[in-house]
Amino acid sequence: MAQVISIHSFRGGTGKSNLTANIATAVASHGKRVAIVDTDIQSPGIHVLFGLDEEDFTHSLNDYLWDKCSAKDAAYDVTAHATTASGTSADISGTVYLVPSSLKVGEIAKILREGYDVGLLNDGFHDLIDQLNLDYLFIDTHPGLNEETLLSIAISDRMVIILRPDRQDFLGTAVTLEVAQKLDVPDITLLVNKAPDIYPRETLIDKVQTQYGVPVGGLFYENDEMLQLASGGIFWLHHPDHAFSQEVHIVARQLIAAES
Amino acid sequence: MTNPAQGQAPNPQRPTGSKTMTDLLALVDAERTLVNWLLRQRGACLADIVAHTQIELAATEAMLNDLIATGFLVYDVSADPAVYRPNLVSRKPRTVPDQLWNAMD
Repeated sequence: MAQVISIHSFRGGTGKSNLTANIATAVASHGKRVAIVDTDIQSPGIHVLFGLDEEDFTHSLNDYLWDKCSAKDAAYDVTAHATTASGTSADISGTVYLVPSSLKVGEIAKILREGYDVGLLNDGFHDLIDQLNLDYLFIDTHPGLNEETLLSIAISDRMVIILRPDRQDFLGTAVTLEVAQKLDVPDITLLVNKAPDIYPRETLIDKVQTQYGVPVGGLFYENDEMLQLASGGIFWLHHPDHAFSQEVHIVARQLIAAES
Repeated sequence: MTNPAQGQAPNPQRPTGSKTMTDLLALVDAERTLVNWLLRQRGACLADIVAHTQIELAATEAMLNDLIATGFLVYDVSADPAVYRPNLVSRKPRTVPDQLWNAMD
């Protein structure tokens, strides 16, 4: 039974897409078949982490939502695009698919203007799971709460909320959690990202868990190597021994363990 | 609204003014929980719904009919057995002037 995992943050700039790409690829490195759907239709971007640009894909999520193609047609096997620091393809034992959103201004505007059938998006997720024989479907969402976000929360088996140690993020995460409870999400995990290194790990984790009553699955510290990579790849493949990468694998193993 | 369990299926056509996910949040707990579950299932027949809710048949039917009347569900008689499906759109049309949208085409 495939697991649907939605990745959210209440505010932008939390590193949501970066963590989604890293965690999904780490899960695939355990031999799993994984797909990432970029439902951030207003501001898509996760494809950049796999080295793709607009010319690399014929179809997008937008085309599926307008009935121009099947969901599977908009899914691209990006496993070979996950490269190491030397530029060679990483040895990923599983498979990573990506369903990108369109980068064309007119197509973004059309979705915003006309909306789409929520049931169709839900059907598309299930088509991908069935036709690609997926173990995990990751939904990379637009920050904040909007209609697409609410749908992905509602249909998820697990919701991962990313926040920074920041007062605005803390307040927004409380709102997101309240909504998730209203939508009956079975499992929720918090990931704290971009933490300054002045915060001791256990203290910060305890503070967040106490505040929300939800487990913290991972704590990621700010680091220069991430800034230098500048979304130019999957971080853990470029820096496999880095503390950030070790944390990515801890989260990936948690997700796999939760399934079994 | 007629009762499908009594042999008179509700109107299978989509009610005007389809609901959004935001509207779903405003439902009372029992209705919201049921629509949430139907979203995950992508629809279910009456027998499965009753088995899931553990609420007596008449009360479940009344809730389903209310949800159809208010536009959250549709009753799909093309399936066998007929199923109740969520009827949600991503958002209501925006009121931004056409001139602005056209500039982005």
